[in-house]
Amino acid sequence: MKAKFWALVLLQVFLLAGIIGYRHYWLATGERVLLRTVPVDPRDIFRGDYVRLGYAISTLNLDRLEGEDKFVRNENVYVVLRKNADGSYSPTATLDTPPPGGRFIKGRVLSQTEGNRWEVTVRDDAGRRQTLEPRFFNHRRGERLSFCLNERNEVISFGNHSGCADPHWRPLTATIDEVRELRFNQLNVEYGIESYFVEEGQGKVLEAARSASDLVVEIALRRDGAGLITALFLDGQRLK
Amino acid sequence: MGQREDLPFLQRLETEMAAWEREGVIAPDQRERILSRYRAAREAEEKAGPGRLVTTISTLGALLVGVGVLLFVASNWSQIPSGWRLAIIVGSLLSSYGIGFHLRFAAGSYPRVGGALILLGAIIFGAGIFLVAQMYHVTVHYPNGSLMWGVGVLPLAYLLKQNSLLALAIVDLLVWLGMEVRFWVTDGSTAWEMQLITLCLMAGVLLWGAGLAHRGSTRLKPVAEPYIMVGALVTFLGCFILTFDVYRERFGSPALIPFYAVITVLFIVTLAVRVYARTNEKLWEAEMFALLAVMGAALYLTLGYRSGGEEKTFYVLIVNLLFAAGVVGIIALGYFRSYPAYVNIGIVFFVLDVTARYFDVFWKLLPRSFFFIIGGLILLSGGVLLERKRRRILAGFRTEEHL
Repeated sequence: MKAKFWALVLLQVFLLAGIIGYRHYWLATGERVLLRTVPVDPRDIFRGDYVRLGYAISTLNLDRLEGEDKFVRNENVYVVLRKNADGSYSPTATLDTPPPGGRFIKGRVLSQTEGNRWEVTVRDDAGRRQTLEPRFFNHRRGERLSFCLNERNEVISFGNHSGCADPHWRPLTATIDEVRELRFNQLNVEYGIESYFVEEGQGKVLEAARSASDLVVEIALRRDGAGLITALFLDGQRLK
Repeated sequence: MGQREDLPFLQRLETEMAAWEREGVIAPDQRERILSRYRAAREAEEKAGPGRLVTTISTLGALLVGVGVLLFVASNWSQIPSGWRLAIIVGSLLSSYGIGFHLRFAAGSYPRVGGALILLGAIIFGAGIFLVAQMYHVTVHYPNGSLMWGVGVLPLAYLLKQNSLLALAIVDLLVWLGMEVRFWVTDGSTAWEMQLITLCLMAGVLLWGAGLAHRGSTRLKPVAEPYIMVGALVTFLGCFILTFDVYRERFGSPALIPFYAVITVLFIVTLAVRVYARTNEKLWEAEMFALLAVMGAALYLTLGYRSGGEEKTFYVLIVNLLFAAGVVGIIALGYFRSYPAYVNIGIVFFVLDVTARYFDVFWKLLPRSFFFIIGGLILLSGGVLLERKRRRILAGFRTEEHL
């Protein structure tokens, strides 16, 4: 009995060691890509604080991507990635089988829904017109609003405030010329890289820092496209 | 020679032998010689103090330390590198198992505390799984952690025939089932809670059936209780929820058909094993048919039932009648079989059912103040009556044992 008991206990230890070895091999051999994020902060009952990471590739606009446009829940989806000038990666196509080559990440389809996005055309005080694409919009034509835009001209916030919280953001005060709500074919995908565990109490701190900064995640990609988080970069600084 | 598992047997043997000696079946020296064979076990028991109390206190202690270890993992202190944290977990896992095994089997003086330390080792194993998941940022709602925990502890529970370990493994596997179902069922349906409840009900019936199959085997009988207890509790809880007005949407999901199929097949296997065992236990056929009926009803709800319109009142009425019959049935079964756990489960759900139906029926009919006063008085007098009845039943069991 003693021998059997220790054999089973060692089996438990080997199971733990096996998971660690497998994950280490993945980290050592996987190809690294950078993905941009939008996190929120919950708390896991067993594992303490973590930052919930949402990626630009978590909600895909299928109308703008090549490949398949019909998916069912829980189906595997292979998202082909292309490197941007800033080193991060963006999606170019969605496939239901792994592509023969190139960089791609494997995810699981949560749902395929009709998404909506906004195209807001504004005119600034100098009379220049430009089109912005906020994630959500609830103002009407003729209203005067202040926007904060990041380096990629994405709308970070808008309202009646003046100035922006981050010096890197560009303030823009303009009058709304036209508001268009567009429907698109949206795919919601989970990649298994949506949680980043931090020390207790740090989740909210990181979350607060995140809303004023740029958070990028480094992922190790396995050959079959499965991803594993290797590092977080807040404004280019690697988080420990 | 006597082992710790033989202690209840030893107590019964002592009572029996006193009667045999009185009746002249054995001589006093024969009695003494037989008892001396088991004296070591008795001495160990006396050193350990009153049995159940020691088990309860040391199990609680193990659970508290286990929760502490889980929280230690959760706090994710950056001052301690993850490698060291892992070393602490593996070190405490090995020492908890090692000391526990030594106390329970090798030294033999503290078998109950030893058992509790082995349970602690199993909880630390779970903490280790969560620590590894944390180190590599594995997605939170990934159910594999609970599955690995349960599957890892299960063989140890069978080897040591330790019920607390088995209960931990069963609860882990139930948590896994719940998480896995949550993972598959979110197809935009708002009724996923009811789909989860019917699936848990089926899992409860399966566990109960597995308990019956274990009871049918002489070798596995010592580990039957956790299956029966957890199974009966989950089954009654699932049925209790179905006595409410919940018949609005579907109870099943096409995404869960593989789960229904596996649970049904396993359940049929457990029943076949029980029938094959042919152990002579009072009313086992009735218990088996009742489980078969509940499983059949759960399958109808998940696969056949469609959104209830007018007929939902009919469903509520039928399920309430069946539930009441089930409560009376389990109390009667406990009484006939001298099994206090069934009586206790039956009484708990009887009180819950009476309370719930009182709220259902009288909430709108009586002014609120009377509602609470009358309800409180009914519960108080009901409590006194039930306690007296329960005591009489349990005292009856003890008298039967002595006879």
